[in-house]
Amino acid sequence: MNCPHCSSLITSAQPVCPQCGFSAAAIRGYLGSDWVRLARITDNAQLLSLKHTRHLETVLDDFERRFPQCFMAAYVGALPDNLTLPDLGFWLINHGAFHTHQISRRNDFGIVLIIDPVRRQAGFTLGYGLESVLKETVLTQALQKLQPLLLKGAFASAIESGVTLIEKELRSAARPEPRQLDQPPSVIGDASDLGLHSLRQPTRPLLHAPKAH
Amino acid sequence: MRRKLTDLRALSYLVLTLLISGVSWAFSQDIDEALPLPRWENDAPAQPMAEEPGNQFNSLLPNDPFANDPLEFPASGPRLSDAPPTLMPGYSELGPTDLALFLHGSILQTDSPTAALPHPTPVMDLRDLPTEILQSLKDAPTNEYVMDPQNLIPEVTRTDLDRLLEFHAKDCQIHFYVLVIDTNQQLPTSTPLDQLAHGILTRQKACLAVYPMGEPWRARIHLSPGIQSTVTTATLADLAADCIQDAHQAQQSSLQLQRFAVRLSTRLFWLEKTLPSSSTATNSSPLPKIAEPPHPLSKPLFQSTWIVPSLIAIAFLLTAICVTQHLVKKRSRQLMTEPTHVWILPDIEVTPRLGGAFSGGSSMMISFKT
Repeated sequence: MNCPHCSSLITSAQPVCPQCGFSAAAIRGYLGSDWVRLARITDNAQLLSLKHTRHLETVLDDFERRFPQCFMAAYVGALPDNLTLPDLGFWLINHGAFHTHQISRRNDFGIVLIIDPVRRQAGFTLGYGLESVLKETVLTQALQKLQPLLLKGAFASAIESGVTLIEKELRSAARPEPRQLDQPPSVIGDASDLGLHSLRQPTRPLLHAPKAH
Repeated sequence: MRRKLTDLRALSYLVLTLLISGVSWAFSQDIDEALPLPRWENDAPAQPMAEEPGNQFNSLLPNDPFANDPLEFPASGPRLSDAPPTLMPGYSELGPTDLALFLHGSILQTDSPTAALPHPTPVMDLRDLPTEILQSLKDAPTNEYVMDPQNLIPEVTRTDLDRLLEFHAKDCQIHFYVLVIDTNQQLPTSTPLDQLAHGILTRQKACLAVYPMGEPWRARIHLSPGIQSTVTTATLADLAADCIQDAHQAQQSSLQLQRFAVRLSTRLFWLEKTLPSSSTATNSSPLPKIAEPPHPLSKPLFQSTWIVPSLIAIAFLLTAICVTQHLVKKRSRQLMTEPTHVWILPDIEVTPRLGGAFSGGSSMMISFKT
């Protein structure tokens, strides 16, 4: 494996890149240690239309339905000079709270596609669970197929094609199983067990509270 | 004395006046009796004699009631029955109403009497047609049916012949060409007739008549080999004899040519009807046939027995492939939209790197700069 920051070769169980000192702690010191909420499509560069964004969300949602372990997110935006695309991908998979259907999904089956329209760079970053399936050669071939679309500025089409190519590779390594509906919860502690989450207090605070006598 | 002379003069004036008035009265009496009122005669007018020249135009002349009644005219004036003074001694046999006096003989379809009896050119006096003329005839246009390189035909006859042969070519498959040579000329024996006018005799059904002016009996009729092989020699000899005989009906050389051409044109129409169908005639022609380039959709492609079943089988196979592909795509699309199966990836335990809980930074990046 290579360091996401300096691309130097690193071995397993190395906590810090011996060449550049890159580590999870180092990137946390730059981008923070908090978890961030990351949607399927994050268009920080405002290059995707609402129609394309909705379409890509549908495509990614279908992908997640067919691969219940996996999720994929796309980030389109310009990065600062001292932050590489693999740096951000590394941090996002380790600190991103993806909006998925199932809370049981683990980030180590996550895929992040980052496109920097200013540097004109694009890259995939994988979680640990997909390293054995999506080799570097596979990722390189997929990115080369996206290159014509990226050159034309068709970022939405490039993201959709990337999903299709990744899905094709994943199917070759995955086993098909019949789809099963979620089991109903046996015990209901609160509404969150039914998928309902409270956002605020249900009652309005009283402005003129009655004085005690 | 003077008085006597005056009386004599008065007497002479009186006598002269009486004489003049008497003569005038006598003349007026004579004219009243000489001009009769119109009369209708029961007898049919006398028909002119058939032997009289110009008799076919007598119907164009108004009937002259006085011509048959010469006695009714006054004896002192000229009458139509009187013969005109002899202006042309050679035409003294013509009558006073003959149109030949002022119309050309060819229009009247009669020969001019000056045509002398033809004398055949002795064989020893015949000369070959000049080589340069033969060379020029090789490049003669195929749509000019009258070949007269020496301008031997009179202009009117030439126009008539051109028109006749053009009409002939429109209606008859056997195109009719006439090569006119001079009276004392002949075609050299080694003349390649198949090269005349870009090879008209070999490229199409054609008839070439070589006609010496004034000597129709020396005319030669050449036919395309395809026609000649299908017609008997007796038929061809009869055709030639008929045309020459018809040309002999006239004595003027241009009229002879005209009659010859008209007759031969008619006989060629008859000959065309006796010919077999065009395909048979073409096959029997000994001339080399110009090979046409093969058409891309020529018959042999579809005449083969195994090509058509193979094409049908290929069509079936392609249709089956298209249908299968369509069904597979439809099925996969259905699976994509309404998944009945999910895909489970193997769960492999990986030792974390660089302190990352879920990712060790496994990534790949490209630049898409132009």
